[in-house]
Amino acid sequence: MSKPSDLVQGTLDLLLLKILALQPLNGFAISLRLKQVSGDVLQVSDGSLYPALHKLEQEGWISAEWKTTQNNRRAKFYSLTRPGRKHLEKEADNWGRLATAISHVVQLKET
Amino acid sequence: MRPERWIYALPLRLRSLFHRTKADQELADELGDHLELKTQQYISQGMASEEARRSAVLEMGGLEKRKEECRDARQITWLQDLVQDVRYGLRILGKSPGFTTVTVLTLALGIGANTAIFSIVDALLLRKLPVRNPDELVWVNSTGTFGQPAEGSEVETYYAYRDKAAAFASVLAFSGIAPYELTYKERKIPANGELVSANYFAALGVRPFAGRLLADSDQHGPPALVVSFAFWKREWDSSEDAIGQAITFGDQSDATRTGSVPQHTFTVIGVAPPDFFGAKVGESPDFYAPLNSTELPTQDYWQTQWVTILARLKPGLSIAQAQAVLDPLLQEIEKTSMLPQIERDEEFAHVLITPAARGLSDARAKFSLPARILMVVVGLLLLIACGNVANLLLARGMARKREITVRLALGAGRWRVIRQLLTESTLLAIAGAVTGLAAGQWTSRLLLASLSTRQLPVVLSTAFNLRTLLFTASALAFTVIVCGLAPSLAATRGELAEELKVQGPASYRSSAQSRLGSVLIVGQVALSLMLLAAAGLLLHTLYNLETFDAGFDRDKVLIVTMTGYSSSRTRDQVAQFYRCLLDRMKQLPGVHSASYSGFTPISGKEVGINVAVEGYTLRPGEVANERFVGISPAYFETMGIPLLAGREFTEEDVHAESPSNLATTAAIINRTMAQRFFGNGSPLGKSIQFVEGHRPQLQIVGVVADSKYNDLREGPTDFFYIPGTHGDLEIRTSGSAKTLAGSLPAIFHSLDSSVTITGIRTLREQVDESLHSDRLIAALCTTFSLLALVLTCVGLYGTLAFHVAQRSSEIGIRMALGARPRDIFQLVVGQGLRLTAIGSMLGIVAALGAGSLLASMLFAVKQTDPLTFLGVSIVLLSAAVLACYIPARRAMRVDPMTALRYE
Repeated sequence: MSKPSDLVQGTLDLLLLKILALQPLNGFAISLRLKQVSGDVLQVSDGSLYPALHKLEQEGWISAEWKTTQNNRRAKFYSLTRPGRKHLEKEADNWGRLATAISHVVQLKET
Repeated sequence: MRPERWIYALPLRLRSLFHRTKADQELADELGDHLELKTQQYISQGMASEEARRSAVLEMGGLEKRKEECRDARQITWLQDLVQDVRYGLRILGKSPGFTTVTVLTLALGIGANTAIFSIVDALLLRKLPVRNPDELVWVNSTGTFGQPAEGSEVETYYAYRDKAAAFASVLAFSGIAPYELTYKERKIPANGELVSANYFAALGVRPFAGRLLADSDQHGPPALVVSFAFWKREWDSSEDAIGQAITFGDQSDATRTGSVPQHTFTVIGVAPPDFFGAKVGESPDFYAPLNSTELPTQDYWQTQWVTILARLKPGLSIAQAQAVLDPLLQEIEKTSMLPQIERDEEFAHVLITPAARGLSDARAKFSLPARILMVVVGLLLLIACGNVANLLLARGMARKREITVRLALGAGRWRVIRQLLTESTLLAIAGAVTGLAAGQWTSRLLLASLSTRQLPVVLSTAFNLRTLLFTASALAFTVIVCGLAPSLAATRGELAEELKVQGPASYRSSAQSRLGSVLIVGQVALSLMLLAAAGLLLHTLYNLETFDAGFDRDKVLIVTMTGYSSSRTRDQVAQFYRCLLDRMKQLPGVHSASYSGFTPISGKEVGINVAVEGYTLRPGEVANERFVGISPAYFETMGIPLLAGREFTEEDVHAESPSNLATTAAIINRTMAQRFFGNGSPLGKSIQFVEGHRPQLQIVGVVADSKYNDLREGPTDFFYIPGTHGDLEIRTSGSAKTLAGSLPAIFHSLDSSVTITGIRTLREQVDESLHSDRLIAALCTTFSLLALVLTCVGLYGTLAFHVAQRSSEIGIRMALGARPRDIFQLVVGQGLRLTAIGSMLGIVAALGAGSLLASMLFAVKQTDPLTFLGVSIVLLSAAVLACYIPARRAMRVDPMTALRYE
């Protein structure tokens, strides 16, 4: 089973925000979507998912609402807030810069 | 965090705080939901239902652990702990109502006393005037030869400043407050008025509450006046109708009778704001009229010709610069002054500018030291109250030792337990502070009422303000730290394993905690002794002031003040009136003699003049500004002032033929003056000459003993007497002053119907009024020190009682081994008295050290007066013996069998 540390520090938040930016989802759906979008490369345990969601919610990046799903169950749906969207943009930029920098370093030719 | 995020975050925090159960339930629902979906997913993938459920839970990694992590995300654990602590604290305190009540009342007493005194200190000494930019205001006064500030400025000086001085951004003036009689709709209303310059309100930056305030146009326009908010509320019931109403000054009936007094009608143009009281703190005029109101029927020269000048300096100008710039102007003005040259040199030579952000105040000068002393006194009282509460909490901590030990043993952090205990003491302190604040508000109003006298009515606003609340809050914080911290540290100290071995609460003893309790008692005793010593010294002072020989006879002299004999009467008519009056008085039963004088001793009045004395040359820098009063024959006999040489005045002295207004040829001087100017030689027959004016020479015909004239505390000062033509009446009687007073109005009326008596009182009453602030502070100090004593005794009693309870098995053993009840009694009382003795010792040392604070309040008693210290030590010790007695009796009654069986 994979551990949260398999992910680069802080990237779980980024992933969750990005997923919720596409559409509001409940916890279970988020865990499915995570697997689906990242295949086997990124594995997030159910254990670290919920504390991360709650933290984002307390920070005010995402908000939650109890809604009824298609199969008539009540579930807690998370969606991105306005400040959350700004935060996502900033974090995405940061990530982009970081990734570019690292790939540059990695691609340096050995002489 | 940016504000926008709080829109989302804040409701969540609040929800998890106040709807914790609901939030937890939702969390459980959410995670349960997830598990269920996951299980179904696995089942649909072909797993057995048991296996599917297990996998789902495993993947979650422990349901409870995740829940806790989610809860941690809420970041409000500390707040939840606090809420929990408060709830628990309230429950614990509710379980012991006796303890709670005693503690809250003790703290309420301490905090209430502090709030009450502070709100007066604040209003009197700290608060700035409720005007625009009070920090800019300066008081423009003048000074001269001796550097003493003048008592006012001539109104011409104000006009000159206003028209010519470039140093001021604005300059305003106001007269002293004076009583008037207004007539409104044929109803007479006594009111205190202040005359103010037309720009007064504009320059201060005060806005009207209703109508408009005085403006420059009112300088010469139709007579207008502004009333105070309080007066408006009292006389017009806060009705807008007041604006535009006409008010008449002076007595209309008098006007119609004589036909000579014109009607002085003023129009009310507006109401000053509620918090505005003028620029003098402690006074409160009922109305403000323009300074140049020639319409006002006032005979008071001081009111119309003397003003206090306030100004705002031009920006960038320092006080020293402004003084330098204004000096030539003042000297220019003084050239045309009507004042005698010597007075100009002494008071009006240089401009003196002082900051006036907090206004000017006579009350401040009078009560500033008493207020400071009282602040210290109540501060000490609060310390004693805290000591008591700390001791109670300490004893409680010991009694709850097992509960605390168990909590520590079960894994509670020490800090967490201390926080719980501190929360309890904070709750107590808050309850105390709220009670104290309410009581303090009431007390300060009561105190304020007792500050006022006929001579100096004190009107201050002690309404709640931020500063008072802050003060109370800091008193509260102080209380919590002092009473809460030490006991909770003590209660959580110690080895867990040791504590748990101890069986039963009664046998528990901790030397460290007893020591802390003893230290607290010693401190309380020391502070109480200091307060008692202060009270003792002040009471001693008061006794001295009331009983020492002030040079005149306080008890047998009745003083009658009157007004009304008109200035239109001739000199002869006035003389005739007084002659008849004195004759009639002497015929009354019980009256030995009667006299009159320009003013009476300790009445707050004095007149001084520069004189030249025959055969005496002044040294450079020496002045002979001598105080004097005009008196009738038999004055010294009436007042009980011994005649040392020569004779009293006679009728001939008073009514000597002379063209001058003050036709006098004779003078009587007091002993100090005789000694100063004539040494051992005889002053009789020598002459005195007034330096200014054209007055005839005075020839000294007698010498009398010294007596106090302006103030009971004054040292021996020069004083002389001249024959006078009118003034207040003195009657020496052996009968009842009250009966005599009753018969006077009729007699006065029969002699001259226009004369009205304005006051009849004994000389003692007059003197007593001057001791008002001494009496007030002595009374307050005594009250507070007795409260302190009671608190200390309660503390001593409580500590000893607790010790006896804790040591009952030890006492039982002692008794079983042969100790007599008397030995046990001595053991307990000895312990209490030892603490008291140590505390008293420390208290005496501290009181001797702090005594200098009181020094200027004392009279004829040293701050180290051994008699006072002995007295208060005896009082303290007796009270302590009483406090020890009850626990000691209880200790004597300990039954050895019961005590040992309990073990």
